[in-house]
Amino acid sequence: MTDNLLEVEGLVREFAVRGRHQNVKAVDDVSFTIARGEALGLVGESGSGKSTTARCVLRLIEPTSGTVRLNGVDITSLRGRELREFRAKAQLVFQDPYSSLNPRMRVEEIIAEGIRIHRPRVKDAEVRDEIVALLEVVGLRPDHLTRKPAAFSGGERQRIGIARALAVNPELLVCDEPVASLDVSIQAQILNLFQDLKARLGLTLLYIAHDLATVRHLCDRVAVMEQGQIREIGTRDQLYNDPQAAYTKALMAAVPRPDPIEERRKLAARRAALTGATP
Amino acid sequence: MKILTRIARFVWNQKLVTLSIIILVAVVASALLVHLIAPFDPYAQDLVLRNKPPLTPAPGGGIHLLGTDPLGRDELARLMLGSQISLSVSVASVVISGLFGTTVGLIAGYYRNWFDDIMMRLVDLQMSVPSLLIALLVLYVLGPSFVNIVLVLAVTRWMVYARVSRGLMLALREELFVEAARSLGASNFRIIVRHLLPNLAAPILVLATLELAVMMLTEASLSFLGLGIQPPESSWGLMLAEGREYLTSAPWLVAVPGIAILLTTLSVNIIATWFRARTASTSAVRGGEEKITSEVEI
Repeated sequence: MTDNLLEVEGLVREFAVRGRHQNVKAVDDVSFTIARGEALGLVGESGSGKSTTARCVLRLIEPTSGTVRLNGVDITSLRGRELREFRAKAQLVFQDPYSSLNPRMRVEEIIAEGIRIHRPRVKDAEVRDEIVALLEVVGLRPDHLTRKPAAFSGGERQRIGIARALAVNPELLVCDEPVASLDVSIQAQILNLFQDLKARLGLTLLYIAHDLATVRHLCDRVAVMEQGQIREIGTRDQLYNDPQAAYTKALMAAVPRPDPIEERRKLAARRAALTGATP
Repeated sequence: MKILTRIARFVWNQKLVTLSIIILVAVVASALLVHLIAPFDPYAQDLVLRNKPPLTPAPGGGIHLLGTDPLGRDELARLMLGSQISLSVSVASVVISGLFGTTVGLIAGYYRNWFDDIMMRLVDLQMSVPSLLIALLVLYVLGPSFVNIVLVLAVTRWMVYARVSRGLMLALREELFVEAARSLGASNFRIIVRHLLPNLAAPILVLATLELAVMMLTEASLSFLGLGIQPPESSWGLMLAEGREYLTSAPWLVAVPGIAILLTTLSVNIIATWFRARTASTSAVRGGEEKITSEVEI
C-alpha cells in the first residue's frame, strides 16, 4: 500500500432516470487502488459501470459520493488551477477514434492542444519538436502532421488520440475500451503499443475492456465489475486460473476457445443445462 | 496554368453556379461603382422622356437600355443606384442578426441553463408573430431610416440563427472530442471557440447566404409598403412600389427591379446550395444541414 498512484474509495454515481422514482446507481460503492507503474484491467459487460467509473476518476463527471485520490490528493473537490493541474496528470483514451477527434483540426493542432493549455509559453518550434517525437512514440510519421483526422484509418486515429493524451505527460492513462472498435489485426498493434508505453514511460494504466483476452495480455491486476459493483479483484494469474466470483466464472466460460472440440462440448453442456431447466 | 484549367473545369461542371457568381459579381460591382459605370446620372430628370420603353435613344446620345422612369431618369442607372441600398441593407442586417443570433445559440446550447430557457422562449414568442408585421410596427414608430431598417431586419431574423446554432450545439457538445478537450483541461471558452465554433461555421455560413435573400426580399417589401427606403434614395423594393402605378402603361418599371431581385436572390440561393453540398461531407454534425432548410421554411 506504499506507492499507490490512484486510490478510489466508496465511489458512487447515481443517475436520475425519467419516470422512475429512485435514482439508478451506475457505480455503486466501488473501491480499488492502482500502484505506480501498474496496469489494472476493469472488466465487465456493457452497462456495468466501467466507463462511468473511469469518468469519475478523471472528474469528467462528478461522483455522487466517495473519494478519488491521485498521489494522495483527493481530486473530487479540486477547483480552478488545481483542477487544471490534475488534468495534466490523468488522461483518457477513448473507445471511438472517430468522434473523439475534432474533424476540423489538423493532427498537429489536436496533439498540441494539451501543450498549449498547460505550457502556454512554449515556443511553436519546440511544440513541433515535441509533437514529432510523440508521433514517433505512437508509430506515426511526421508528414501526418498537416492532415485532418478524416485522412486516417481507425487504428491511426487511435494512435493520434494516444499521442494527444501523452502530450501532457500524464502519470495515469485511462483507456476506455481503446481497441473495441478496431479490426482484430489492428487491436494487437494498439495493445502492443500500450504495453510498450507502459514499459518505456512507466505509465500507470486503468484499462477498461469487456473482453478478457485483451486484458490478460496487458494488465497486472484485474477487477471484474457487474451492475456497478466490483465482484472480484485480484492479480491476473489468480483471476484467470482460479476465479472466485460466480460472475467471473461466467465471463471466463464465455471466452471462446480456439479448440472446436472443446467449444462443441461447451455448447452441448449449455444446451443440456437449458433443457434440464425447462419442465 | 493549372489554376486556369481548374477554373475552366469548374465553369464547365458548375454552369449554374458560375452564372450565379457572375450575376452576383455584376450586382456588387454596379453597387460599388454606380457613379463610374452608370450610363446616365441616376438623379438627372427629364420630363420629356417620361416612361420611355427600353432601348429608347437618348437625345444627348446613347440609349436608355432599360427605358426611363416617371421622372425621365434612366432605369438602368436607377437600378444600379438601388442595388447599393438593397445590398448594403441585406448584408448589414445579415451580419448583425447572424452575429447576435449565433452567439445566443452558442451560449444557450452549450450551457443549457436559465439563459437557454429564456432565450428559447423568446425565440418561440417571436416565431409566432409574423416578422414583417413587427418590422412594420417598429418602423412606423421609429421612422424609416437606413440604420433603423437594418436594425429592424436584424431583430426580426436573429432567432433563425439562434435556433440553428443551438440545435447544432446540442449535438456537438456531446461529441467525444469535446470531452477530450475538457479532459485536457481546456476552458469552456477554449472549447467553444476552438472546437465548436469551427464546426458551426459552415452550416451558419450557408444559412447566412440563404438569409441574405430573405433580407433582400423583406427590404423590398418594406420599401414597397412605404416604410423602407425613402425617395430620392432608391432601392429595388422602392422602384417596384413606384412602378406599380404605371403597371399597365409602362410594365418595365415593375419588371426591371422585379427581375433584378429575382436574379440576385436566386443566384445567392444557388451558391448557398452548392456550398452546402460541398461542405456537408466534412461536417461533424450529421443531419445538421437538413435542420437548416427546415428552419428557413418557417
